[in-house]
Amino acid sequence: MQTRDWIRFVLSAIVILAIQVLVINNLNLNQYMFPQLYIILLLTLPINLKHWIGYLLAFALGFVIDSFSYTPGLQSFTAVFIMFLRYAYFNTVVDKEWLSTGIRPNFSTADTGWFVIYVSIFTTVFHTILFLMENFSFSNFGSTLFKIAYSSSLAIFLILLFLFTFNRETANDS
Amino acid sequence: MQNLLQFLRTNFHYFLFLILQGISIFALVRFNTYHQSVFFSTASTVNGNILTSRKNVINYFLLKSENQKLKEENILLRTRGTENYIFINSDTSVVRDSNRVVQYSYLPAKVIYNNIRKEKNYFTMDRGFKHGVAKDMGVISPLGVAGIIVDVSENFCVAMSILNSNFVLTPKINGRTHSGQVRWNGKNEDMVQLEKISDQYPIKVGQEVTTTEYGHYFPEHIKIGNIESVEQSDEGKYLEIEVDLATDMSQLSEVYIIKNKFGKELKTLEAPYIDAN
Repeated sequence: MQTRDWIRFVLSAIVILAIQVLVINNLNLNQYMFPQLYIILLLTLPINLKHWIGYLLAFALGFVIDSFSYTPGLQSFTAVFIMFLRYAYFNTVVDKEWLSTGIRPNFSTADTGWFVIYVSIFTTVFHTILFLMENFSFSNFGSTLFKIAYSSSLAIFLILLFLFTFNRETANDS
Repeated sequence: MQNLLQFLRTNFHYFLFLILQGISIFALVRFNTYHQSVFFSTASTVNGNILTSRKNVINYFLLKSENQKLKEENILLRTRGTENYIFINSDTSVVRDSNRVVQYSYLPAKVIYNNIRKEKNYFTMDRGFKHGVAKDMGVISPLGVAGIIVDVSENFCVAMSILNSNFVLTPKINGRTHSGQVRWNGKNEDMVQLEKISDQYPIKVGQEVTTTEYGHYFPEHIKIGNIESVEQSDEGKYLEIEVDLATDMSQLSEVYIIKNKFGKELKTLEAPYIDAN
């Protein structure tokens, strides 16, 4: 990522974190819906971004969300973990040639079908880890499952909608 | 060495990942009340089971000395029995009536974990609320006072040791109640200290220090220890007294938990008037 990309990343991070912290976290939709929109920032990082930068970014984003929702460690743990899984995926499954292009996964840069599945799987995994860590035991497992299902489906919808709306035209120059 | 550095450099991001996860887990368990309680209750259940089996093995090797202690206690109890007393005065006789109710009863327990190295020490026993143990019950060893129960789970309980700077007890010296307190200064595990004892009393080395009913943890006359040294305090007015503990806290194994039948009633009655601490 160049300086221009970094500036754009920081600006979009501020906007998305603000939406997450000020709007979504205060929506009381029902007892199961706590979508985490901010992982959009992690999922659209360049696919060949250096590992240590990725981990530190994930930790920092999780830390910000944690400090606004009084759950120290919860979001940062999950964000760093999802970053680990993302690297594991890109380093093993995707072919090397595509990896070296360093694109940022989006509607315009990747195959639409692949991208939707990519976002869906990582969002679901993220919410699974998040709510398991939040519950911290296997009691009330039913309500945890409901939380995972409701929150991740809403989050997938919001993330795809968000990317579809805002990032389409600007994606060409990345 | 170079290989090691090379290894660290190439796998740097893995270490970073583990460090960040470690920080997060630490923060999660340390700063979230809910996660903390889940973590510690799980840990204490596991610990309790491991410590029980460990103690089972250790107890086998301590059988001999335990036996000796129980013998000593038996001798003590035998001499207290009524059959050892002769009524010199033929005018009096013993009458068993319903005016008396047993106030204190004893529950034998085994210490499965004990520590005396810190300033605030606690020990764990293999009795829980399943066996009728509750908070604020006293614990004695065959030789003297050992502690007070502070926490109870289903099968185990934790007691604050007499070797704990928060442990406070009102003493009786030579059968007379004194308005001072027994408290450990955290230094020598064989000695506890008597504080706030006025220097106008004639207190001598060798006198016996026992419990009072104050606090409702222990019955009267349970031995705490013998006075080892008496000195005038620097501030004047008070005495500095060292007491040689009757119980060997480092060898604590067989103990008795004391249930006070009226403990709860007394505490409830006194609660509005006496500072609870």
